[in-house]
Formats: sequence, C-alpha cells, structure tokens
Amino acid sequence: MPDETLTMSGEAGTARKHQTTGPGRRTGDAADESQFEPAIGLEVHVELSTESKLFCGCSTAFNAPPNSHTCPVCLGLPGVLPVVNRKAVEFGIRTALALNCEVAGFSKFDRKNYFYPDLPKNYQISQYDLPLASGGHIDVPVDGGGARCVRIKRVHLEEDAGKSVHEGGTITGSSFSLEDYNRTGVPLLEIVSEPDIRSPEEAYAYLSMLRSVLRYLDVSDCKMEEGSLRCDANISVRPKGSFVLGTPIELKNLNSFRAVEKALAYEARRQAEALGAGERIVRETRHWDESRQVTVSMRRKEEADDYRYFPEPDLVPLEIDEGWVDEVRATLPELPGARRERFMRQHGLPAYDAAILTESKDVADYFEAAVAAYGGDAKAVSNWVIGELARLMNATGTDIRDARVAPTALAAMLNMIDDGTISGKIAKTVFEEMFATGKTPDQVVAEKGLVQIADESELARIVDEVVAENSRAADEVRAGKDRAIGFLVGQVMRKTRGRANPQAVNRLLQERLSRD
Amino acid sequence: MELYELAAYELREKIERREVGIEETVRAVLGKIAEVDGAVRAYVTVAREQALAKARAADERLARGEPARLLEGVPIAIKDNMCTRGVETTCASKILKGFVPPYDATVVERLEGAGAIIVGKTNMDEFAMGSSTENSGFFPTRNPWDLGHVPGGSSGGSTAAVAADEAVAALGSDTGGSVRQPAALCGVVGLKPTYGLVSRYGLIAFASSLDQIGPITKDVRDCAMVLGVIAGHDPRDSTSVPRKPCDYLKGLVPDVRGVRIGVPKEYFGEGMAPGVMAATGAALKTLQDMGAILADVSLPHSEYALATYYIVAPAEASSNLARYDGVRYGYRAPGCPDSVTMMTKTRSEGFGSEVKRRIMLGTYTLSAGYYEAYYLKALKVRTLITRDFDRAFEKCDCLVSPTSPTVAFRLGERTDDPLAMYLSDIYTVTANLAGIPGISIPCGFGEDGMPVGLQILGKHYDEATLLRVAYAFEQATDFHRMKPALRATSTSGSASASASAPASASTSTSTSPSASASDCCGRAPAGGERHA
Amino acid sequence: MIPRDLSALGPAIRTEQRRRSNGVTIPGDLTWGLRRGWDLKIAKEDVDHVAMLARLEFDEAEKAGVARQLSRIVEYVEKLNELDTEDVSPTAHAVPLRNVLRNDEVRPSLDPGEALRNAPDREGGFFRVPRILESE
Repeated sequence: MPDETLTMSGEAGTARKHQTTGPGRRTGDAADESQFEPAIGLEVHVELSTESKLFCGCSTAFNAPPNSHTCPVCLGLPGVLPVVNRKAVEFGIRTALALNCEVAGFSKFDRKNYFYPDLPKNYQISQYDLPLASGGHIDVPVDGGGARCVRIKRVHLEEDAGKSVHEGGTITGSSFSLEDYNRTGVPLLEIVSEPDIRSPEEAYAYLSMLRSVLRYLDVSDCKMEEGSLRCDANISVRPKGSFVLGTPIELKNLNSFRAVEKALAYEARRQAEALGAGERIVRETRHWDESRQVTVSMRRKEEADDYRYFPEPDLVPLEIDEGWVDEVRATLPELPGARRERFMRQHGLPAYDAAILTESKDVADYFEAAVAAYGGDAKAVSNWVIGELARLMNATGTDIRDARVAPTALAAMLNMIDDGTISGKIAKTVFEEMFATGKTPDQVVAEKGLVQIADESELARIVDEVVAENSRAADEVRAGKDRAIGFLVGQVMRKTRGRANPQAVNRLLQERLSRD
Repeated sequence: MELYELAAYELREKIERREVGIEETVRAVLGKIAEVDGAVRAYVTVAREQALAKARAADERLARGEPARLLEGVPIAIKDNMCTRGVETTCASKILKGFVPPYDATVVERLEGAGAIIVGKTNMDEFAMGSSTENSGFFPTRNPWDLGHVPGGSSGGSTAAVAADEAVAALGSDTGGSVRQPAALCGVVGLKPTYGLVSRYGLIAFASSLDQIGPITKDVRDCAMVLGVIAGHDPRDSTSVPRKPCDYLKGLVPDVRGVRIGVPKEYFGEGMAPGVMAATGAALKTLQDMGAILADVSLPHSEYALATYYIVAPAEASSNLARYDGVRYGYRAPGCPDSVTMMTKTRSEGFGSEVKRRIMLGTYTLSAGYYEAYYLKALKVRTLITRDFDRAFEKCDCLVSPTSPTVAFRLGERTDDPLAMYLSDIYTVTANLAGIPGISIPCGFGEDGMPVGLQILGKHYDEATLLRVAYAFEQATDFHRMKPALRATSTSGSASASASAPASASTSTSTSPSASASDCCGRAPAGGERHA
Repeated sequence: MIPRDLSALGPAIRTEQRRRSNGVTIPGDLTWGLRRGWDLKIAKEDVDHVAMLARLEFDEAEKAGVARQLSRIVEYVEKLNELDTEDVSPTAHAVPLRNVLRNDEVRPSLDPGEALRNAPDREGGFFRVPRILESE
C-alpha cells in the first residue's frame, strides 16, 4: 500500500491537509477518551540512499532478482569482516545536524544478537550505548497553527535484515519461507523520538515533517511502500494533566503513515477505555491488523529483551571531531521549516501555501524558479503550483521532477495572462496542453488559436449576434434581472471559444443593452 | 636429505636455482603425507590435485624465465579455519562439513601470490576451541614425537604436519595460545603476531578481538619469511593496522648482546612441570651467556588472565558462531517442522560438546543482567593486563617464559575436565588479551622426552626483536633440528605405530640441555633423530 | 608425569579451591543459584534459558552436566571480582584504531548461483527454510 503524501509528488493520493479524522475520533466515546491523553514516541528506520551497503560493496538497488546483490560479507559466510561505508556515516551526521542533535565525538558499533532466518549472522550490527547522535528536536506544525517540539532521543546507524517471503503470502499456514538477502546490510538510520507526540494526528504530522527533512537532505527516498521508511510506535495514555507517563505499548506492522495514525487512534482509545474500566495496561507488543483495523497482542518473545549487546570487535570506534561535523554542516541545504518561514516572509505567502510548497524540496525549488522567471505576484505562482499543477500530477501520477511544464514555461504563461494575451480561463486549457505535450505557452496558444480577441469591434459584432439570438435573455437584462447577463456572457465566450476577455464582454453587453 | 625435510628458505633456494622442480617438491611432501598421515592425522583435507596443478603452473612460470617469488614452490599447510576458494573449509566441525568457500582468506591470497603451494587443510580443535586437537569434530591428531600424546591445540594439525615433515611450513591461528602452545608441544616454531598485523579476513572467527593468524615453521628464518608474506594492511579487515611493511629477514642477526630480557616471576609458579622448568631455566642461562641481560619483572595481573580470557573469548564466540544455523551453508538437521526447531537441532547436532559449552558460557555472561558483572568487568581487567605489559616493557625489550606449563599430555588425559584443559593456556592468553606478539621456539625436552617451548613476548609490532632473540637462541642450539620418530610409547596404548619407547622418555627431568650451546644437541632423546 | 592434581597447575586454580573449601563466596551477584537451593551457580533452569537464547538443546542427563561445568567455570571467572576496576576503562580492541572507513563504491556481488551453492535447501534464487513461527 502506498503511503499517503502531503506533497504533490504524485506518488500516491491527493494533497492532504494535516487535519484528519482518524477512526478513534469517529468511533470513540468522546467523554471517556477526553479524560486521557496519549504520549506517543516513534521509532523510524530509514534506508540511506548510499550506492553500496553499509559493510560491503554490494549494490543497494531495490527490486533486483533474489540474492543477486549478495557477497560473502552480507551473506555472513564464515570468515568475513565488515568495513563501514563512509557515506553512510556522513548521511547519519547530516541527518543528526538537521534534527538539531548533538553528534557524538566518540561512537561505536555493537552486536545485537538474535536468531532469525533473514539475519545471516544471527546478529545485527547496530549501535547501543554510544549512538552516532542524540538530544535533538524537530518542530512539527500542528492544527490551528503553532508547532509541537518533538525531542529526538537518538539517531544511530545499523544494518538492515533480509526479506522472508512466506509460502502462500502469510507467515501462518505456510510450510516454508524463502530468504532473499539483497536487503541485508543496506544502511539504516534509526531515529527515535521521545514520547512527546500528543495525538495520532501529530504523529502523522511528525512523520511527514521527518520525511520532508530526510528528502531535503537527500539521504533517503523514504518510500514506505518499498520499505525504505519504516515506523514502529510506542504509546501510553495518562489522565490529562498528569506528569507521569503510563505503561507504553509497542505497535508494529505499521505499513503507511495512515496506518500509524489509525493504529495509534485505536490504541489510544483501547487504553483509555481499559483505564477507564479500572484495568491495568500490561507492557506488550501489539500488531496492527490492517484488514480488521485493530491492534492484536503478539505472543511475547521470551528473549525479547535479551539481545546480549556487546561491542562489535570487528569494527573500530568512530571519532567524529568538530572539523568533520563542520564539513558536513557546510553542505546542509535550507531545511523545510526555515524555507517555509522564508516563503511567508519573502514571497508573502499564507502559511498554508508555504507549508504545502516547502514539504518537498523539489516542489519548493520549482516554485522558486517559476517566481524568479515570472517576476509578478508569487501568490499567483503558488495558486498554479498547488492548484492545477498538483491536480495534473496527481491525476497522472507524475513526479514534479518529471513534469513537462518547466518553471519558466509556467512563468511565461502567467505573463500572457497578465498582458491579456490569454484569459485566465483559457489559461487552464493552455496549461493542460503544456502539461501533456511539454510545449511552451506561445506554441500552444498559436497552434490552437487561443489568442484573446483584442479587437473590440469584432467582439461588438459577436455581442450583437448573441443579443439577437437570445432576445428573451436580453429582455430580462433590460428588465433589471442582472443574473441573466451571465448567460449572455457565457454565450459570447462560447462563440469565441473562450478567446474573449469576460470583463470586456460584460462591459460591451451592458453598453449594447442600455442603448436599446 | 629428502626434499620434505628442508626448511622453506633452503627449498626455495634450490627451486630458484632450478635444482629441483616445484612439482617434484610438492610430490615429495604429498608422498610424506601418504606415508605418515595415517598415524599422525594432521590433515582433514589434502588438496592433492589442486596442489599439483598449481605446482605445474609454477614450474612453467619459472621455465618462462620469470623470477622466483618469496615462497616459490614452498608446500604449505593451512589450518582448516581459513577459507580457501574451492577447497572445503570446515573448522573441523560437522556443522561446516561440505562448506566450500567462494573466496580466499587474505593470507591464502598472499601466500599464493608469493608462490607458495597449499597442500591441504589441517586438523584443529573444532572452531579452534581447545588445547589438544582432541576437540576436532572428526578425529584427534597425534603428536609426532609420541603418537600417544596430543600435539597441543588448537592448531595441532598444523604443528604436527610441520613436525612430521608433512608440510614445509603452515599457518595456524592463535586466540589464547593456539599457535604457540602446539608449536611448543610439537617442537616447532610458532608465532602469534601483534593483533592487527595479519589480516583476519577469511579466518573463521572464534574470538574476534583475540584471533591472529601466525606462521608455524621448522625454524626462525622460515618464520620471518612467512610472516613477511602474510603481514600487512588489508582494507577488508577494519582491525588491520596500516603500517609500512617490515623486512623481518634483515633483522635476523645471531646477537643478543645488550638485549634486556624480562623474566616475569608470575610465569614461573608452582604449576609448571619440572621438565619444563628445567628446560626453560637452561634456555635463560643460554641467553644470558650469549650476552642478554636478564631482569626480574612482574606482571601482577597474570593470575586474572585466564579468567578474563574465559569470559571474553566465549562471549565473542557465542555471537560469532550464531551464523551456523543450517540456513545458508553447512549442515542442516533433516525433517524439522519449523525454523526454530531446525536451527536448534542443526546446532545441537552439528557442534561438539566443547563448542556448545563455550557458546553456553558466552551466552550466559552476555545475557541480561550479567554483561557488566562479567564481560565489561573482563574488558576492564584486560586493560590492567595490558598495562602490566606496558610497565614491564619500560624495563626490558622482551619477556621470556615457558610456552606451556607442561609438555604434551596423553590423549584423553584432560578431556573430562575443561578447566584442567584451559590451564594449558595460562602463559599464552595474556599476549592475546594485550594484543602483543609472542613466539614459541623449541628449547629442549621435558617429561616423557617431549619437546618444551620457550615463549618470547614483545612490544606491539616489535616482531623483529622476538625474531632476533629467537634466531640467536636457535643459532646457538640445535633443538630445531631434532626430528620426531613418529612412534608411540608403550604407555599410550592407543597409537598405531611402533611401541618402542625412546630410551630417555622415562628420565624426563634430566633431558634439559645444558646452558652450553655446543653440547646441548647431545641430549636429544634417543627416539629423536637429527639431520644436522 | 602430568600433574593430575589441579592445585599443582597454577596459582589461579588454587585460589578457587581455597575459596570453595572455606565456603566463602565472592562479592557480587552470586545469590541466584543459592536462592534456588542449589550449590551450583547455574541451575538446570538457567541452562534451559541460556540454551534457548543460543538455539541449543540438551537432554535431561546432559543438562546436569552442563550446569555443573558451567557453574564451575563461572565460579572460576568470578575471580575477577577480587579486583577493583571502578576507574579502569574497558579494552574492547587490542589496537587503538579509529574511523576505518571505505568509500561508497559498488563492488561486484557473487555470481548468480554462487551465493546459493552451499545452501542446504533452495528454490529459485532463494534460500529455503522451514516455516517461520509467528512467535519468532
């Protein structure tokens, strides 16, 4: 299932505001729920978009034939040793800085030991007590303006596991599973938040913001449907006003942002009802059942908390000095939060426009390029980008990087509207043609004969024709029924195939009828 | 003199001068293997066809006029925990039976790049866990000096092969003494280099922070030669140290005048067998007579070394050996309904009891609530042990001790008691914990007429001093020229070879050589023969 | 010839025996075996738990032996508790290397088939394993 998106990247769905109504809100007992408040922490894993894996030279490309991107190292053959990919460390530092974290001067890798067929060494190289970075925060825009500051507990590097394909598609009932180790060893960045998130909607907004930041940084493509962004959640509820956190429940199998939101809403309600009924919440891991839209308790692993972490003896520690951090810091792009503020300040955009335009760096870049080429009102550009362009991209599933309308072409079209060459109405047609064919607005207008009729005498002739053909409507206007004039304008526009300026037509009609 | 009796440098010279062919050399060694390995059982795999094919190719190379490389034509045995592309590699474990690596260990690449011919894979304690090679998952190896005795371990196959002339040189791996102890017990030279000097890529891990590959050779010159080939930075091993290569042969001067040799008092405690004590004492006297300066030093945390080792090594091993689960390679228990059962049965059937014991121990010490009390504590004591050496090396250039507290014991003698077996490593584990180099060289004979090894420990990366002292001692003595008789004493009862006992076998404590280099070879056990 | 008495084999083992003969235990968390009324540091139940973590199994007769041997080794290694290591930093690596990194370059993977050559069971390009239980 594709992830919902706030961007106009056209990957899936339609542009969507933060305000959503989850099932919890729709189905919950409002009175019961209102006494409690959830505290939510999210644990996000993103696959870093390095060329090669974290500890070997195998490609990280998605969708290769099974086990074709494997070597002795990532297959965990006897005798092999890992060597850390510098780019992955730098991506980690880059992300840490963008999330306002403190990058650790001294960091190390540890082994997390557990048996699973998709883990070739039966341990995962991760980071335990000395993560790459910690102590950050990120501001997440929330309902009704303002922002929630979500603290980032830690950011660390680890290797991904392989993929198990279960016979028949489900884990239960299959008699065997098939293992593909292409994904094994792909670098993962784990980003753990503090339990600062206060609602399922905020969780959604946090994920959107985080994804936006990661894409700005160009460290991950964050495609949840390809598993390059994964999210586990922990949620506890407590009486409103209490400072003591409740018992957290881990939620797994959250396969989309919407699933995260729905599972949290369900779980908040379930816990509130349980507490309301005087029950105790037991620490456990629950699985989100997408088809039934409920969370289900998972049988507890006896070894769940016994990963026997110890320092990875095959890797030496990382020492990241100020110089290295500064080098990485110097390459950081303007991040979405800062850009949003700047769009409001510099381009005079409303917060809503600025937020939508800046969520994706590509969209924001497009917008700014168009504004620069246009020179006119930035709001007009914004209207077209988040209106027509977004609509067409979503309808056709096009990414903005592949859109055939160049920012300069959009600007040229806006100029044609401003100088009266085309009407605003005809512009929609022009734009659709530009989007479909990649032609410039001049070409489209010329080929289709869409130039606005500037000659008033020609327009007056058509007005006369229309008045003659629609005498009843003309009479109504003369009788003071202003509404009827709209019909006449429409008739003129039809005869001119939209090439008339509606204001001019309106004026000519008024003059024509008042003369009678 | 048979070709297989020659040292590597002697053989290489003959090959370079085209006095002998490489195929001829390899055939000589293969012939010796065929002759004696039924009794010694040093090899788990003899790569006869591959070795002959490579030998012929090497002969053609030389025939084309290409220069002889550093180890041109030298038949070498590889401990079966180093990966050899296309040649089965088992760690002497049933769980890896049939595993054919698709890649070569770095040391194998380097040896072959220098012209060495790999003749086979040698037996070992399963996954290098043991001190007698009795823990092999296949069969025990015998000590060529007395087939009723163990060769030591875990590289017992490699040391026995070199001692019995079944290989001109060999590689072993040393995690707590596994090169030095069997070298001592088999009367050959064995070196554990500084941690990080030789790449571990392709060495099947036992305890990653302690493992090092080292040469096992007939004499010190060969040791320096092989070390020069296998040492050096490898970008595939993150713990491999980037250093300029060192010409170890150049430093081989028979002169120890002014060299300060520390004698750690903790290594001369009550546990040492009298014959070992006598041989070691005599060796110290020899070195002193040659002009070395002996100094008493203390390594006060030595008594904690074995305990530290038996926390660190099993903990790392428990994780390193997790990958043997029947999914990707090796043995899989048949007919299991689910993966957990399959993994559990595979591992329980595939691993031997010592390996399981150490996995259990390591899993226990790392498990929830115990990490700090055991593993972290051990890492801290490791720091104290390392500091002991740092202090000692302020006062001396190297340290000398026996390699092992006893000579080779009889097969079966310690198999029932893991702790007693572990005590074989008591003088060797410290070097692994501190990461320093150590060498064992033959220094006489002790109980049962079995060889005694002298251990020399040095500063990090100071293999040159070890080799120099070892070489000087070797030049002044003849122990390295003694050859075992490949017989069993009457008391062993279990060996297949002749039961005639060497005359001196029962006069064990008197076999140590006198300090004088000139007459020491006269005290060789009657069962031994010398070709000097 | 070979000393069979462990006490002759080194100072380390003597310390341990002394401790045991006096009935003295070392400071630290050593009580859990005693809580169960066992003399052994590691009880059979602990063997079960550790074996589950390690994916090993032992029959009942073996378990007692494993518990006994492990207990003895664990008692021995607890000798380290004699040392005060409060201010000592741990040595995880014998060499003080830092930042050993490689460039982000793709290297050839194994040839198709080679990756699976040693597989006990395979299907298509996959390694095949018996079913994975949900509880894993």
